[in-house]
Amino acid sequence: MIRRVFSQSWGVLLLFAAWQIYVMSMHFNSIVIVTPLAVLEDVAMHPVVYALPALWTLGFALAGLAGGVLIGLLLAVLAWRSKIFSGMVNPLALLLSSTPVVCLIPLLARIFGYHSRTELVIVAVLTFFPAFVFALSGLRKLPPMSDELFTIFAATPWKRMRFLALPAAMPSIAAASRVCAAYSVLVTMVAEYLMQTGGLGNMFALMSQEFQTERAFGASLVAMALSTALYSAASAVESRVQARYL
Amino acid sequence: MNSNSSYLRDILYGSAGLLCLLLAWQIVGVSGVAGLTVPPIAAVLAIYSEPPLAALLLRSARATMSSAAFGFVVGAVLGIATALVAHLLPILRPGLDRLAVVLNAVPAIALGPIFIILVSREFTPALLATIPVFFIVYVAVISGLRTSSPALTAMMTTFGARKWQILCHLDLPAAIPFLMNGLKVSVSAAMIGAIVGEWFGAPAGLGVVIVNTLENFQVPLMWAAILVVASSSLTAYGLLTLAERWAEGRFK
Repeated sequence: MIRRVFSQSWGVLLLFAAWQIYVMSMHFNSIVIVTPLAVLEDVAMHPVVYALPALWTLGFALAGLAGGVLIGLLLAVLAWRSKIFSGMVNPLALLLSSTPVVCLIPLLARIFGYHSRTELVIVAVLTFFPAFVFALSGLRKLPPMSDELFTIFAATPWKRMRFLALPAAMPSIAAASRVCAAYSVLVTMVAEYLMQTGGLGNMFALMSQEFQTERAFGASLVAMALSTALYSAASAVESRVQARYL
Repeated sequence: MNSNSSYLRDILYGSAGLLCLLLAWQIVGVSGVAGLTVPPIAAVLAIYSEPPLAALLLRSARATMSSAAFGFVVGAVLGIATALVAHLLPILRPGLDRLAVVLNAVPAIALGPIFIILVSREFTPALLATIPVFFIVYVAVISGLRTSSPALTAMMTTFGARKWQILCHLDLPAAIPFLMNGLKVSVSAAMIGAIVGEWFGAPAGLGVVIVNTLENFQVPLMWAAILVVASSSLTAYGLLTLAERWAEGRFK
């Protein structure tokens, strides 16, 4: 057990140790940079202060993620049903995939207003694209002749959707969610930082303005933990989905 | 339907889609539905013909591009090297996996201020571009190295091949397509890193232009800067796709 934990975490431990030693040996002012132990202590001593912003950020990240994956799936189904739509969407999809979406945050904030609900739009814009690409490739990998079989049995479009397309796309959608899960928290945090709309990003901005560096770093630490946990959870979901549908 | 006419059809549908988007943009811009935030596309394109603004964009693009290129190259080299270490020394692998995930999970807004203090304002964008590229390339290469066929590995071992011979002739070629895919995805990650890094007060760059124009309400200039970002990362993406085609022909 201990061996397993160590073999997974030696890299991270080494990183934290290097940070601790570096800060202690350079005698930085605590406004500039603090030791990891001081940050951990602040998080451990004031869990309540962190709980609400963390839940806030997590909620918006998850809701945006769900919305984005759903939109991506819908677009993929449309593109799968209609050749014209898929032909029209493909180059746009390529355009968006290579556009750095994060630099659209200021723009989206301007269009949708400086509210928390804009975070949903931002995360959804960021996540729908991978979901679309993955889901479409899943839909196109149907078992040979299965589409024809549904035609022979005169299946309704809904039945074809429910029993053929969705199960076929499930593993790809799970993979897309894993890819997006880690980023959703970080993007929500950047959006909160820029728009000052509550959550961990806002907490980081306020605390670093007040030179409470421990707490600012604590907010980042909590965001890191959330993002890593979401990534692991999504990986677990993905392997179960793969076992079920592949 | 033969492939030539379906290729033609793809182009036709594709340009129709693009045209619809541009048309919708122009209509939204002229009608003013989205307020002043979405100007007509003609107003944005006019920015490029004004010499002082075009010069500003060119100068900023050069700064952002060199940061992103640095992050791209250094991140890719580090990612490949770490993946090779994890592949050759399997005992280190779980720890390196976790380290990569955690490093990638550090919020850029927390790292930005630290890099500014420890390194410099000019260099922060390049460092912030390096981290996501490192993560993406590491994940891509490590999963690519595992895809070489076990039967072929067993055969080479039976014929007395050394570890590095198996690596060079079997595992590395198998990883090339994965590497190319990872590099393609990394392009926009590197641009994002560089631009977010510039938000922390770099002296020049497209990120600086975007934030300043946002605050000063120079909306067409902001759109013009975003279009420069998009088109340059699209160009890099296209070049890498060409390189990928070449690699596919070479290593398949």
